[in-house]
Amino acid sequence: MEKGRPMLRWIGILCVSMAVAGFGLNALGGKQELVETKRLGADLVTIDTLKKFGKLEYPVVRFEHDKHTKAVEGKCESCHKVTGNTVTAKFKREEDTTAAAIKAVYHDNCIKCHTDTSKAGKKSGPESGQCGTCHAGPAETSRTLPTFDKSLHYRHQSSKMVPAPAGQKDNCSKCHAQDKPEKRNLSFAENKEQSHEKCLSCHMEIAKAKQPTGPVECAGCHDASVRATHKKVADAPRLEAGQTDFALLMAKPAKPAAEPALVNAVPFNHKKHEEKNENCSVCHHNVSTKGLVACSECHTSLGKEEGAFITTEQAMHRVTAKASCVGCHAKAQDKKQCAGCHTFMGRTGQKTEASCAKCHVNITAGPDLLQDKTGKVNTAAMIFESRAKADTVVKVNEIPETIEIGVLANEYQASKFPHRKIVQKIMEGMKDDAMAAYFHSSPNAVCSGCHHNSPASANPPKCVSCHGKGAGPLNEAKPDLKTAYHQQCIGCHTEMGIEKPAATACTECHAAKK
Amino acid sequence: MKRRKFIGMLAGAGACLAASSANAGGTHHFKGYPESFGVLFDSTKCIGCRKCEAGCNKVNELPAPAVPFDDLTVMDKRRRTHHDTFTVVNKYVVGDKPVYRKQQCNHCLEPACASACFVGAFKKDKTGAVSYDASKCVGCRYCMIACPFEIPTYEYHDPITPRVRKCTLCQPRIEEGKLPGCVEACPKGALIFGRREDLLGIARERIRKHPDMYIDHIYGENEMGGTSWLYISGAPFSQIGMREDLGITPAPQFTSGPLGVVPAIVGLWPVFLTGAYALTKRKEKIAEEEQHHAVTEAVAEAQAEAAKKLKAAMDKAEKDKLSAIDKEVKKALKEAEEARKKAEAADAGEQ
Amino acid sequence: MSDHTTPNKSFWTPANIITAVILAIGLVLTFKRFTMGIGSVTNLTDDNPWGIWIGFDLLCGVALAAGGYTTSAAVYLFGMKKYHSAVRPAITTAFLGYAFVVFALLYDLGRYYRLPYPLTIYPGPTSFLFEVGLCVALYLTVLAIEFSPAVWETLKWKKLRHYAHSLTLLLTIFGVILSTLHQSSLGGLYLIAPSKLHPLWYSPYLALFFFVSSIPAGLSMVIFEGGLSHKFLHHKMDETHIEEAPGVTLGFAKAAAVVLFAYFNLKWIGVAMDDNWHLLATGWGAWFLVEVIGFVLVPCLMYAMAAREKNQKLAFWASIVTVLGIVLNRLNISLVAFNWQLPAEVRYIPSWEEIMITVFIVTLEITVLRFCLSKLPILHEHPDFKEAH
Repeated sequence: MEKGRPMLRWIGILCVSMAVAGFGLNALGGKQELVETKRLGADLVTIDTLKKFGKLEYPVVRFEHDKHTKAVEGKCESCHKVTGNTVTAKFKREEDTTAAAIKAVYHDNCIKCHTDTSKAGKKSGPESGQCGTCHAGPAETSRTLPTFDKSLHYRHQSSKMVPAPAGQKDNCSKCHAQDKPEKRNLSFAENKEQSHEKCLSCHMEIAKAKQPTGPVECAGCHDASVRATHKKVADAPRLEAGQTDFALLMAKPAKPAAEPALVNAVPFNHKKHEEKNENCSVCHHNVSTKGLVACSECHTSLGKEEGAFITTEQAMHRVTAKASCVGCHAKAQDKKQCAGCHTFMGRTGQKTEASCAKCHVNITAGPDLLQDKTGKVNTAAMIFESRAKADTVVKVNEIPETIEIGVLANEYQASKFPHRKIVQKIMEGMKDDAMAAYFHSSPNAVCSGCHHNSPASANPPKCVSCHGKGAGPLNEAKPDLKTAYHQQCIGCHTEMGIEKPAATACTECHAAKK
Repeated sequence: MKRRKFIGMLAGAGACLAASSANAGGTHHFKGYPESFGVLFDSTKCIGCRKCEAGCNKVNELPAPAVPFDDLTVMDKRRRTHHDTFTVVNKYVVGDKPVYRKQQCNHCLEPACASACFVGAFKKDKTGAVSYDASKCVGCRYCMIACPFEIPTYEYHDPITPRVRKCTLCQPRIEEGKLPGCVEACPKGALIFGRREDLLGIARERIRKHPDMYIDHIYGENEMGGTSWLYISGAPFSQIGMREDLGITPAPQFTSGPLGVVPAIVGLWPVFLTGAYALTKRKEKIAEEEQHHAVTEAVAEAQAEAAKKLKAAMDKAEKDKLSAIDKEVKKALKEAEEARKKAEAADAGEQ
Repeated sequence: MSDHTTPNKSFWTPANIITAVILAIGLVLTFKRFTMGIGSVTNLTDDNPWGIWIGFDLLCGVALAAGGYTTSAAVYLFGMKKYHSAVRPAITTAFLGYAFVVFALLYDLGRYYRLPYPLTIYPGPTSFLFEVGLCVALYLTVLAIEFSPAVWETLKWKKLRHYAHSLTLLLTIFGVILSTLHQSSLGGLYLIAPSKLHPLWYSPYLALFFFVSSIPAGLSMVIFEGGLSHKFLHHKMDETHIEEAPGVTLGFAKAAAVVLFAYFNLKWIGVAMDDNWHLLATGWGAWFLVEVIGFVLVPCLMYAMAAREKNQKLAFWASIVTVLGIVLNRLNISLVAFNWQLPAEVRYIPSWEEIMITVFIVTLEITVLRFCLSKLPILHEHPDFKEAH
């Protein structure tokens, strides 16, 4: 065998192996990885129009709107159809037809513009063949939704640029589908597209008249830092929609005037709730799409499709819902000055008869009351007046200044517990809080935050009555005394964000024994 | 004698190996000894005070550490158990808050260490504790390889009596009705001790009552087939140093299947190999016979050939001899004739 | 260890000097290990309980001593008589290999004096290590008996030699069974720790991989040592050995090529079973490819070419690549891909003392091997026992 042939064979084998390896690794490495990019701005529009036609072949397109607005020098008609004063939100079309047609609209127009721009020597976007630059998949964005709160509403309502139409007193119908506040049809737009069309058309019209106007770029509304620069009206007046100050919430019986009220009515201080919330839609969710309707229109006692089968009971009481009474109240307990006690009481609260009676009053309502709106309002007003409006009165001087807790003293000396100071601190956190004042209005209710699971009293039983010393029993996970003290104290401090004394700084609460 | 001895040895080896729990197709699922104990750790309650470490150290009479237990800065570095430290608390930063987690032997329901130990030094007791018997240990450290939680430690510094060290669940204490050292020391009730079933119930209740405070998972309920030490946490477990990719298969199940193959090999290989030998021998025998046959044939052929040649040679020799005799006789006769003629001629001349 | 054929040579050859130095250092370190504990001479930690004493001395030692059962099976069970001269050297290598594996184990075990425990009073049959221990112990006995005729012949103890020799067939069968079991059980050791071994190396087939790869390991060691003996101990070899040597090398090369190819395919089946193809595109994947393509496929092809072209030199080099591949595979599974999930600062690197003790053990083994090959009738037949097979 000549020397050359084995050598040749070796080289051949090596080449084949490398080719195989190369192909193989290439095929394996083609997994779709999300390319990490910096967080894009509030103007990011994720174009996934073809999603409704089935599974997407390519990743979604990242479109930076403000960049393009600047490029066309603010001339919306370059990409959007303008009819009269309204700009259509859709790109270069009024309707979505077929997948192929929509794809062609995007590709042909976008790429043509980019090509023309770059031919003109200007910096441009991706052109034909650079698919991945546009189809780069979803990205993180700094976009947040603006809240149309009372201040913003007032600025629009009182603006000279939004005059009342001829023959009307108020300018409500400029945005809402009504001419009088009492008509209470507060619907504005059904979806994102409509709201953009409405808002931006108006802003652009005013801008054309060279007057100060609202934002026309994405970041103007959708970027939190830009929003922070907008003027805020300090005491914006109440949003008028023909509402009363008080209301008596009663469940609608199945047969009108035939059966007694299904559940005790709830007097509701509507005015107070308006003061505490940004706008109507916090509770009356969907108001801008459906208008202002009574909750029980959709959330009936048995539930119906319009209400996503959420019953009246659930709509009022669901703890996890933002728009339900109990849910919103529960959320308020997350505040630092409340969390110390409320975190460990559980989100569901106490669920006793007494807690139901906080809202539901026992009034013998005649069948007429249900139909009598004025009667209901007056009844509610009366109930509220009769309730004690003062802040919870706790006889602070009767609380011992310090309590020496020495029952477990072993490695450490007895702890000198500054009882009065702590109660005073808690009371301070509840000052001026009407909700806290009302819910804590029963005598010694505040004491129950720590002196729990026993009737509220000014002389509560010692902790050791229930939490035995020594080996912790496992009945209902009632911790032993040492655990109970530490969990209560340290838990409260942690939830209230109190950093001193630190949980691990043992000697700050009880000095070490020599 | 030798054959029997061999078979005897084989049977002995087979019996030993068959004794292994070959559980290849079993549907057994060990849920722990009934009434066995466990510990529930609640990381939302742990404040990282290290009193549990101190308690463990005291109860097990371990040497005093280089850095005292009230030094909380040690938690800035990730620590693990050591031959003189059966448990450690580590600090993890999740979001912007510190979360603490205690680490110690989890006392698995089906412990990997017990399965791996080739002298059976680890045992899962009825109390729930996984106990270690130093009097059996040979020091191979396979248990340390097997443990998925990386818990057992070794006394590498000891030349003659090194031991494997780990949390014992304070077995002597719990048998007396006392609490394990760490549980007793914890001021915050982050550790509670009780029957495993009860602890599972308590953990589920806590998660149900405070759904926004806890991740909806009890770590140790099913991991590695279930452990006696259970964990609930507000932060995702993978962010507090707990592996979430261990699966629910108990460790012994990874080896019981393959170990079940051993008796099969012991049963089959002798047959195959003896068969191979027999086949080889048969082939050799046949080859030998064929060769012998071929040789005999070749020899016979050669012999026949030789005989033929010999006959031909003999015949030729015979013929040669006869012709030679003939020639001599003719020659003699000719000479005799000449002699007579000469004699007659001489006679006639004289007269 | 003087060489009688050249009486003018000094005992202190360079090889012997180096050996002496290594043995001296080794003895000192041995003393240190047994008086001050494992920690004083190793970098073993609680995270890394097994180091190169297990990864190399044990795993590689056992794999590379597989020449014993493969050669004797070939000759006595499959009747390949032309390899007969390779049996004794292979058995010697195997016997010494296993003996020194047990010797190395005494260093690694914390309580070495309790080594008999699992086989006597405290068996733990749920453990793969029990399986390893039992089968290695039995196999060492088998090898001792198979090796003993060389000793009995030198001592001229005819009866003992006869008995030992008559057991050959049974011992060979028993040896193959035991080898199958313990070679695969060494792989089985790692089955219990899937969370600690990189998925490209962990497989339910680990035991099978170890067993199948031990065959070319053993065959390669026979080729390798045959080549070395041929060069350095030529004068100790008799006619038969010298004549049969090329046949052994090339025949084993062919067998090794076939088994290596099967092993190569099995590795891919292992990857496919757990659908780990995407891992090949990672750094670990590249390393896996180096091991499987560079150290399994390449020597397989080298062997195939060597067998075809009757090229002994190529077969010799192929045996080196194969042996390195087996060592790489065992080290990968025990040290490199093991604990791959731990952060870099706690990964294991052997200490110089650990490495030195390994070198010491290997040197001791080579020294004893040299002695055996020189003094005992291994590379040649004893004149009184010729043809007595």
